[in-house]
Amino acid sequence: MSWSSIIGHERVKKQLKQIIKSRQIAHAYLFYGADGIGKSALAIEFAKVLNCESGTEQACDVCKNCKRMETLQHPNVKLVFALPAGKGEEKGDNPVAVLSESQVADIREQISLKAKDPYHRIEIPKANFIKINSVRDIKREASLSRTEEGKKVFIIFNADMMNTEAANSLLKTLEEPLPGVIILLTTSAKDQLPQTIISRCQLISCGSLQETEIEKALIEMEGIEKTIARLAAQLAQGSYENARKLALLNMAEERKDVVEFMRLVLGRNRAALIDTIDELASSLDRPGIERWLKLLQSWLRDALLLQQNEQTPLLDDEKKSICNFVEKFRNADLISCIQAVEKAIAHLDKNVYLHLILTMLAIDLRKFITETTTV
Amino acid sequence: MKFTIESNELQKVLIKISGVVPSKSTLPILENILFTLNENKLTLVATDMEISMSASLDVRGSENGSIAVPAKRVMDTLRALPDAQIVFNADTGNNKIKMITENGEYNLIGESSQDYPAIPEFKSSNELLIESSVIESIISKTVFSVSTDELRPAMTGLLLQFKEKEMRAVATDGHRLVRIIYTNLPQIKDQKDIIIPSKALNLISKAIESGSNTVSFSSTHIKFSFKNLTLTSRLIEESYPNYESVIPLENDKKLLADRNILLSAVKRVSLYSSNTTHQIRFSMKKDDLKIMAEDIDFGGEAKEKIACSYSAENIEIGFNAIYLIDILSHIDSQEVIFNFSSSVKAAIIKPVTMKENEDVLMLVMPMRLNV
Repeated sequence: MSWSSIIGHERVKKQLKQIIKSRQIAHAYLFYGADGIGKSALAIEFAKVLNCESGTEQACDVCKNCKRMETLQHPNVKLVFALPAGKGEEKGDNPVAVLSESQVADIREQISLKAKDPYHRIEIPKANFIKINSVRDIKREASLSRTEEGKKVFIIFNADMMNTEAANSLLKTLEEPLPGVIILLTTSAKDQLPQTIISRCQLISCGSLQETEIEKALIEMEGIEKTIARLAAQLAQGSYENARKLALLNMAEERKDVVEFMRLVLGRNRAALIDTIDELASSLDRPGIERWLKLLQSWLRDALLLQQNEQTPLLDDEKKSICNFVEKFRNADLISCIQAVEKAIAHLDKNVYLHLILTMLAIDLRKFITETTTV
Repeated sequence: MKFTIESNELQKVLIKISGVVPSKSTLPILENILFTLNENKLTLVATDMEISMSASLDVRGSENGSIAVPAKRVMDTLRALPDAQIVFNADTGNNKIKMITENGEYNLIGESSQDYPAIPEFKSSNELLIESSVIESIISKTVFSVSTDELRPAMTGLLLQFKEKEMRAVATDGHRLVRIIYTNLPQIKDQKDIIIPSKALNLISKAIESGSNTVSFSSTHIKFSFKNLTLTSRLIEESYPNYESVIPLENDKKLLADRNILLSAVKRVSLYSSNTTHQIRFSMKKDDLKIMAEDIDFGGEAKEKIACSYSAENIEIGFNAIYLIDILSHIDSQEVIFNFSSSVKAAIIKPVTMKENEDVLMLVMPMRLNV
């Protein structure tokens, strides 16, 4: 891994490189931003560069330290994440030694997956929070002399998963660690961290990824087809993790459903429309419906773009249907339509009855598309 | 790699160093012991990245090589075997290990020796030649009062302070303190204070061999070298609190008592103390010491009188019985001296007879008596 293999985040990369170049490295950094955008990838790369023998702002990838970071087995770099509670775990126990063989095997596997793919989310069954014993382990390890030259780096993934005790117990170490100790925290829920933690760290704000960045990464790194990549990127809300999940779903099929739904909304066969709504509401769960609504929204957005500018590049599989649509409903109020979908998504979050949401949406869409046309 | 060895000899050495091997770790390689054969010398290495131990023994070697062997599997096998000759044969190419006895053959899979972490090399700034008995005595007299509170990591280890020809070993957890001063040592050049983690101390006291040993250290590591065994530990790099300031200088009230009589009396009386505070009370008059305990919550009370020599004014002082028992059982003289100043100041306990070149001082904080 190197800086260039991390998707987007040009500003953050520049900032981190600047920090390394200036050699004024703070004792703690908090990487915050939405889920799945690659905060831990940034933190891991930062740790790697800090320990690289080349001493520049770019990891050399050939030295002993870089090699060991490739497998995340560097003795100076310790990863901390949520772990299940051990049987009869007591204060001061080693957080890993108290777990069962299979749990330890899980942890090892997760670490090796994370090493191969920095966008992998470490998930261990029954691990609901970062244990206080893990934090105690950090403190003990931080007070010991280094095994070898370099910086001792602790990376705490999803720091918001520390419970209050663990967070409080970290404060003193976080405030004034020994020279050479650097603590990196990542979180997607900065508000859930105690102020006392936040105020002790230098903040690194990580923005969401650009659609184009995600699309490019999906095509280049995952070998995903362009149409799917673009769709997934549009729907992923700036999160690479989301995009990867979406890309694996059968989105082409769902997209056809969207077009079919629009046909029914604008057609005369009300019974068929109601049947479709019934089927949608019963076959998809709420996140599924949300995804479906987002697909609908992106389709409408494309239509809007085409309506404004005929040169808009479109995905192949939708070209025909969108062109026909725009041709036929030249004056459709597509902005209101998009807002209507937005409203439906908001209702979905508020747990409104699914059939009602979809029926309302169908009525609104028809109104906004046809009424303005006839005027 | 190939060699022949008696199973019990190998087992004896493995037991000594296997205390370091972590039972479960996120680094799977650490659950192995590194076997390295050079001619007729087999070297075994175990580490948990904090402490490394290595031991060597004589074998009949026939093929040099090096391989990491799963510690638990090989220990379990040796434990289950009767005393027998074992031919240990490892293919370092595919990491397959074969142990052959007269009747059996045991195959296991090892790991490449390349993956095994190296024992830290450090530039030692000083070396000391110390008798095993001295190391043992330092550890046994201090390790009980080392703190387990991770809030102050410095106190979770044993402080060694070096002054000209003098070494001080200090351990404290904030409630009690032990300080031992060794004098007449060879000259030690400006060495900074070092703090040894208590885990390393416990491991040494288990593996120690009689004879004289070299202890070498720098500001980051310490290494104990015995005849066939070495232990290298990382040090705690915190700064130790100023313990001198808690040792009172004007404790003028002296009490002299027989250690064994006092210890057993304290043990008996403490059975009647409160389970949460373990408080016992010393009440002293001229040549008379009364030890009392009372459990107000559950009822129950104990008193005992002990002959002692005491000549200062009457005074009452409370102690945590557990701390007192710890201290009294780690003193090896027939009689002990208590030095008090008042009921709210620390008490100093010293053995009456001390070894040459050794000055032992133990200190315990009193408990406030609510009378």
